[in-house]
Amino acid sequence: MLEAGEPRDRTAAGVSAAAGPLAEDDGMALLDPARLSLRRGPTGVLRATVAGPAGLSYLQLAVYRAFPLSEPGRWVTLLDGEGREIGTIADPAALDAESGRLLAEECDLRYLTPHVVEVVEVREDTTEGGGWSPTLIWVLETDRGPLRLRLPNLVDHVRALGTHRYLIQDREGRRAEIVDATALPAASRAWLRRYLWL
Amino acid sequence: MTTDQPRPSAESGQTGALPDAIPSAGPPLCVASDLTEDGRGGRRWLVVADGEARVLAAAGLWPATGPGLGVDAEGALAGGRLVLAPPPPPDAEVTRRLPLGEVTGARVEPFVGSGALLAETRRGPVTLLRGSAALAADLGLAARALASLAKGEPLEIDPRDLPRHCPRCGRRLPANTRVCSSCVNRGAVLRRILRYAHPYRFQLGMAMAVTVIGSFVSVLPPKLSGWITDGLVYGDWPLHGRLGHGLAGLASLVTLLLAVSLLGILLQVWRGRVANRVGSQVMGDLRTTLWRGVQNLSLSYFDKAQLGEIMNRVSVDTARMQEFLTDGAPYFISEMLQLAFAVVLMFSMSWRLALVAILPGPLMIGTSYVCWPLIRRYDRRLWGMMARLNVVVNDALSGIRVVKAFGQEPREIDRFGAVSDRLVQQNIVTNNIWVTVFPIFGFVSGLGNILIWYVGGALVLHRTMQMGNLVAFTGFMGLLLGPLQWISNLVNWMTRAITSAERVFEVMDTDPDVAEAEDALSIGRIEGRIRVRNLQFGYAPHLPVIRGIDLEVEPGEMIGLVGQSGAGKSTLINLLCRLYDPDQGEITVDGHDLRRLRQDELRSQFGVVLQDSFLFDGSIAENIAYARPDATREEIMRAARIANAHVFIVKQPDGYDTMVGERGARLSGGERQRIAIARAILHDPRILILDEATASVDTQTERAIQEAIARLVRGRTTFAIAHRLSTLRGAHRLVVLDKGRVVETGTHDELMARGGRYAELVNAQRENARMAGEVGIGA
Repeated sequence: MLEAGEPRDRTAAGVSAAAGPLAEDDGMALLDPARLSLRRGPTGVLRATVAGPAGLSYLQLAVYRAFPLSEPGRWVTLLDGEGREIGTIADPAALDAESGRLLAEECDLRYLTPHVVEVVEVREDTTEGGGWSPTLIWVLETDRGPLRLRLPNLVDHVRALGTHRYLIQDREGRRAEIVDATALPAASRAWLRRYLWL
Repeated sequence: MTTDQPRPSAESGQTGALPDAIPSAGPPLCVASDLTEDGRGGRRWLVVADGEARVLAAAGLWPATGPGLGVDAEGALAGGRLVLAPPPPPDAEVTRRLPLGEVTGARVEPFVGSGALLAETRRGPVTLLRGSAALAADLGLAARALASLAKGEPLEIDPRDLPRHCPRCGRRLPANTRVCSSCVNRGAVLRRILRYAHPYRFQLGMAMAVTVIGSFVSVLPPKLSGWITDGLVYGDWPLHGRLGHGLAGLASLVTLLLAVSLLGILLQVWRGRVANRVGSQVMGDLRTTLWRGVQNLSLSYFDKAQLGEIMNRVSVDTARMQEFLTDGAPYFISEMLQLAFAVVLMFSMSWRLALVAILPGPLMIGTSYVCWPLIRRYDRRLWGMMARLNVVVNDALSGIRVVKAFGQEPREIDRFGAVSDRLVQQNIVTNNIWVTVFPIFGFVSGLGNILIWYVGGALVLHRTMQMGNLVAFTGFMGLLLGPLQWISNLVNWMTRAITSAERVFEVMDTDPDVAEAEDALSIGRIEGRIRVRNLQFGYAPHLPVIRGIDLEVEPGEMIGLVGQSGAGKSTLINLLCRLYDPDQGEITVDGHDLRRLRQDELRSQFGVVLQDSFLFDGSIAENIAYARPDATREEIMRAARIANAHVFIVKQPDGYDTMVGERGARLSGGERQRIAIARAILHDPRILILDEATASVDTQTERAIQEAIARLVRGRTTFAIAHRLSTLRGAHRLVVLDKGRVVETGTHDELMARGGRYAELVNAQRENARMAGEVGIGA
């Protein structure tokens, strides 16, 4: 495995050497961003082409973030339509502009996690879970529209990702992220102080 | 459905799609979703009509009837139509059209927090709808329906897979339950608990009578002290001096006080004992019923629920209910009665003073209603912290080998320290609240006493009241304010018990997925001819694991199931054992659909030997005779001999009486397997399942197991799964599975000659075997 901090020009070094789509590097199938381009096919599905002597192209593509929480911007693994690994892009920023945009778009759809811009209200629904541990209804305003999450408890449904960063996942599997709790409006922060360990 | 929230269906003037309200004509498929193409909240529909699939978009959001942005419509299946959502409003705009002729299939791509419904076309997959995770089941059903419609086949969907809604609040029910947790009728739950107390109604009636007498007795001492005071101060002995005057009067009153106190104690003990006995017995009954419920649940319930959670319901929740029945309810009733008696006595003595006495009451109730939610919130937080600490401890202890092996003790100590520090902080905050709130309660209740002294004292000074009444009143104050202080906490206590009761009843009320047919067939000893037709199944409706399998197996035939992990081998076995029912297609045994057969009879003729042979807590003999507890010692030994297990068993210090399982002797993997084989031999099943029966044992042990298996499978229809293909040497036919489909069938030689998938697997394994220095198949 590559350390996150290692220089990324190591991937560039593999360009000329490898004949296939991969720039083999310490067993990590890293894709060379200079030779990879992503486009949408006629039905809107993402396609990948790897330039070079082999000139491989993939008509179907699934993108996966290796570290969706700790480093969502890097380490994107591509699988083909059959679920086989194509390789991993260490740094999507090195892709051409159009490919980078499409990759980010596709990743955002797969890891649909609206960012909370306001905590409108947290209601305790004592009809469920009883008085001691009522179900909490979080009424949120997010960058993707309003969202209401139903959390039977906080312990299993809120994960602290950092000092002021939280991931909330309701019992249906819907998610929302508080990127920086200190940046929210005062009223929202008051709700968080009441229910989270701020 | 809710009446206060307008539903989209109202706009188009059509009623909600309840089964009897669904119009027989209309689009064969209508499903809605709650996300736009770019993942924002919005309203989208997929409607199949006039030979094409249409995606429609309407402005605005779904009304928040359910949780989140989700559409929360009921589903219905009628006349070959699947309607999962109210129809789109007339102003909805068609954003995409796809002729059904172009659709070759449909599937759901599960994402994180959302999912997409894709149609397969010859030009590639087309994303039709995106929906939040809450709609995964809807999209899955829609995908199945779309695929069927595109092929021109009728919809084959089990009505039980449709989303169900609470008939009262309209909220969507979680899968697998009939009870809406938000709408449980609290009174009904209490009545249901009390139904379990019905056999003990005589004892309960006694306890009730004792409680009434006891409460009355407990309010007498203040009254007596009042009498004593009046006698001493005014020479005014009660009941016109019938109890004597002077020292004699004092002696009789004090004796009475002593007697009343003793009686009170005796009644309290008696009441406690009766309540304890009845409470424990009721809970015992309830626990047994619950356990029966848990045992009868389908396996799929255990896939979804966590084991710890089920254990909690059996132990913690029933304990809470018992606490309520034995402590809570009797305490509550006696406190309330005591309060009532005290108030009546006080009003009979002096109505003015009685009014003053109950004055702080509303204040106390008010304070407690303000304080309890706060205390509760902090209490919950403390509980959460404690849970985290437990997780850390649990983790480090169960993984202690790993911790030691990697020398990470200091790290574990730090991890514990960090959580413990936070717990300390939380403890301080929470306890600060307690130590502040309680003196406040004390002060408010003390206020009443202070008022009594002033108002009562003034009445005594004005000679409108005697000293004794004042003394009696100060005594009553203690009785009065105790219950008031706890009144809202008692409500809380009851809520907790009812919540626990709900969780307990929820398990009891869960429908088994694999239900016994009402007119289940009894077919006696089965021959073992098995037919699998167009079998399709997925653990979640949108993720098919078995995608259409057809197979015919003759009685006594041994089938080897081959394929990579995830190919569907184990799932096929689960379906054959009817641990799950298929989504589509059928499995027949001797010509009868599995679903039509009596489950107990079927199970008694199925035998299973699993990879990790589970041995129960008990002796080896008991484990071998698990399915036939009446087996003789000789039968047990014969089975063990056939399984090549006899010799190693008798070598154990306690022979067949050796304890195994959780607390018992340590047996090697190969030994456990042979005991499991002996269990299957004694069970004498008609259909046998071998799942990875020989993995991870040395060559000699493997030979012993192979021998045992060869004897076991003789004359039985057998399905064997093995990663090591050499294990399948004895199979009559090999069935190669890949991605939920049969790709090849034939004998080992036939398949090798064909050079297909199987040959690939064998060669790959030979390669591995050569590298590992082991012997592969055919070598």
